[in-house]
Amino acid sequence: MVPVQHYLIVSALLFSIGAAGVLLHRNLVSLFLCVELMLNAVNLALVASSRWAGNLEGQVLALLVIIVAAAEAVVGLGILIAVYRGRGSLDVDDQNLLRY
Amino acid sequence: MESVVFYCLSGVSVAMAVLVAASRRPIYAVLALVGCSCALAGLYALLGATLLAAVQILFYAGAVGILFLIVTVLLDARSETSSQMRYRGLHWGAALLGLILFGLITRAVLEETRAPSVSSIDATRGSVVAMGYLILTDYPLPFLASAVLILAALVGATWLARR
Repeated sequence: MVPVQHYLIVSALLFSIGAAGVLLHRNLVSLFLCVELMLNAVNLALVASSRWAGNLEGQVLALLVIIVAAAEAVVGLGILIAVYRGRGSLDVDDQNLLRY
Repeated sequence: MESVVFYCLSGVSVAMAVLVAASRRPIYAVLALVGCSCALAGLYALLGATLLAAVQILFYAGAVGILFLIVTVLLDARSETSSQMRYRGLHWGAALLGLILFGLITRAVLEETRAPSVSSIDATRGSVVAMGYLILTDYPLPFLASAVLILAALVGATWLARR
């Protein structure tokens, strides 16, 4: 049986890769994908901890996180479409309306 | 046997995650995210969370993946070119910060889970019946709140995308 620590380390790896991707990318769609990846990593950690603790609460929380992530994806992509219509670009360096 | 499946699935998911983070074209990143979600669903099934595995495939690989794909195609999100060139050392900086984050999380995880696990896998079978019972008896409020959240997201997305 695989120890739970290995699941948690895989989850930490996915989370770090997602965070590095957020720092790396300049395109809003790619950035958003990396955030989704980080949410997935957190879900894996929740499910693994649920098995470690011996109850189902972590899985319920993971289900709620998936629901929130779906809602976030829908609203975020709507915002992306609005930004693209208004600015004509998805590059984060071009988005400076709140800067001044 | 279980460990072989685990290492295969986690290898696939990490490779797909690297593709998500490293690919210049968003369309490849979307496809890699779908693959990563499928591998993660396999990991959930291995952990006994069968309902979550199904939901992961339905929501992430299905709904969210298709949504991202449609938006990527609609918006003509080209590969990053000009502004990427402005930051030469960005790759190494991002990789270094990711490594530091990974080290910190791993250290915390190994410290926190030093005590042996008490559970057997049968106690945490996340079947539909067990999960549904737990949600509808112990956690009805978050369940209803998520329904309201989805409705709000639906209305908000429709309002944002009109015009």
